[in-house]
Amino acid sequence: MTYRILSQSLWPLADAVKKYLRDDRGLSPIKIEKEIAQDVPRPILHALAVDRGIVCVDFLEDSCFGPNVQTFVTTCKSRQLPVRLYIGYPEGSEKVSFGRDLRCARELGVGVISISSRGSITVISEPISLVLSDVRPQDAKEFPPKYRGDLNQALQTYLQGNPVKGCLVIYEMIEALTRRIAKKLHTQKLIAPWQSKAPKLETGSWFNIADTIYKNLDFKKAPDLTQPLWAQVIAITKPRNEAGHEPKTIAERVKRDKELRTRFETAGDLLRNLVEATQNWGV
Amino acid sequence: MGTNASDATLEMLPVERIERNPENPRLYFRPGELETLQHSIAQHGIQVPINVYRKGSRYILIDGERRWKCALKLNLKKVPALVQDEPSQLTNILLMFNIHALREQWDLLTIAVKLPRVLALLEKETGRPPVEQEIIDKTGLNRSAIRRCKLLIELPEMYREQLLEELHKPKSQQKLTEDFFIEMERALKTCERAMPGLIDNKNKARDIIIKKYRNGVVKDLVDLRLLPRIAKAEKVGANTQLAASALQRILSQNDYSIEAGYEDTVSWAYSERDIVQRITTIVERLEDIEPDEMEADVLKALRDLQKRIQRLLGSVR
Repeated sequence: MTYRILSQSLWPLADAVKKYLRDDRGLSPIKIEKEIAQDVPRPILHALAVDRGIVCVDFLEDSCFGPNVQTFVTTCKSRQLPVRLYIGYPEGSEKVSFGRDLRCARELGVGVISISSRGSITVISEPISLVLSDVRPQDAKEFPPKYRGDLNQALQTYLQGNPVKGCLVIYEMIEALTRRIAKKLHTQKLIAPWQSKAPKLETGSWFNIADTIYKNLDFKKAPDLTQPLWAQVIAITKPRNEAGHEPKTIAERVKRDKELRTRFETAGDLLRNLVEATQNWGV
Repeated sequence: MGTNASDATLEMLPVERIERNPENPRLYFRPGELETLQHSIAQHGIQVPINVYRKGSRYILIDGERRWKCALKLNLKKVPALVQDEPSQLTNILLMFNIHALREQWDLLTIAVKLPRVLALLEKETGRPPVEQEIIDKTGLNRSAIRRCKLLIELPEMYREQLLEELHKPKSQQKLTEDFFIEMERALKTCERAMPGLIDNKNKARDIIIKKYRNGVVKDLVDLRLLPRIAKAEKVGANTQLAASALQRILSQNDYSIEAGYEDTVSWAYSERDIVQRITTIVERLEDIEPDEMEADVLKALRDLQKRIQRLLGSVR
């Protein structure tokens, strides 16, 4: 099929990218100027990735980003579509605003590809799934320094296309903090004598530790830790242990991404609340 | 023109059932034009209906290819369209010439490629080749555009293809333009007329000039205008043998620039002719001036000129 929308001057570029996506990225079939969802502008090329994300490519005659790129991004985000968008442009057409355009692309989560007149491809930056890019990150400065590195790693992992692992990093931070809090409560004898068999604070299951504290802690003696806050810790141990299932359809992928975004944001909030509640505990 | 737009009906047509007109000479659309229009349509919708004619269950575009492309891109399902009856072949092409070419959206090659077909269809209709004025009346093009088109039409096919290939490239990668070929053809024609027999292989001459232009030996299109000036050496009293040999070098050697050839042969002659022409003009103007009416600044300029002339003449032996 030939292109109907794309300007003829950009056809060789699109053909080169199509070949690259097929040969180097293993994407197939690559559709040309087809709908990805109702009322969403058609990308010039698109293909379904293994993770049910949609890899899209649009082309510009120079490196300058026009408002149409932003419109496409905004539409995909508002429709929660798992789209990763590349913008391809001819090598050598970089304008003075190229640096600004690249920053703009990064902020939008859009990848950039330059294509030489001989059809060789240079991926200048990789895109992130647009639905993921809208996540509300925690402000690392609100956390003590020892948390900041892991927080940043969680966000980057999430944004770079692995939201399950991104959530996992935060869950692990909460789990580690929970265990330290449990130890502290135990040594300070703030927990009533274990009513059942004492859990192993280092190696026991996270749920058991959290649940035992919930049932045995006299929350009046540790006023910073409220019962509702601790209930949230217990609640989060369930998704922590859920194995992530690979979505089989785009609809499943959209649903999963929505859930993961909520989980990532909720877990981040919980971690911040726990850190704030125990900031003077030396944990 | 054989079809009446006032009989057209306004309908909302499915975008997917519309096709581009195979007679549309416009071969390429600049992405920038589409970008702006797409943004506008996304904001305000299609304000002006496109023009189509019905062909079976499909609709063929007469006017509005850019709007249609944007509608496809924006994934619109329907567009407003004025639907007309199918025009004759000649009417179809002429409609597009009149709708598009007058808006100056077409590149010249686009028109040039289609012009021979228009001429053939006009000849078929009237039984004789159309005169220039008829072409102007029918196509809406001006005389200069038609003549420039003819220069492109007369180019050997390999060069037309080369130009087409170039025009298909993104702007940043384009080097050869329609203007380049037009200037080159004009220059070579003048050389042939002024010095018959000088160019024995015109394609070789073209290839050398193209190569020089690509390599920067010919810096810009103005350089090409120096070729006829060298060829007309006789008119300015320069050595024609020398000029002919320089032209031969220009049209056969890859590193000898047109500018150098001009400097080596006729540059001084044209400078002298230019000085003489200017002096003649000044003298004519001075004859109209009464000494009493002379302004101070004119007087001062004349005195400066007088000193310079005296100095110059004094050093002439």
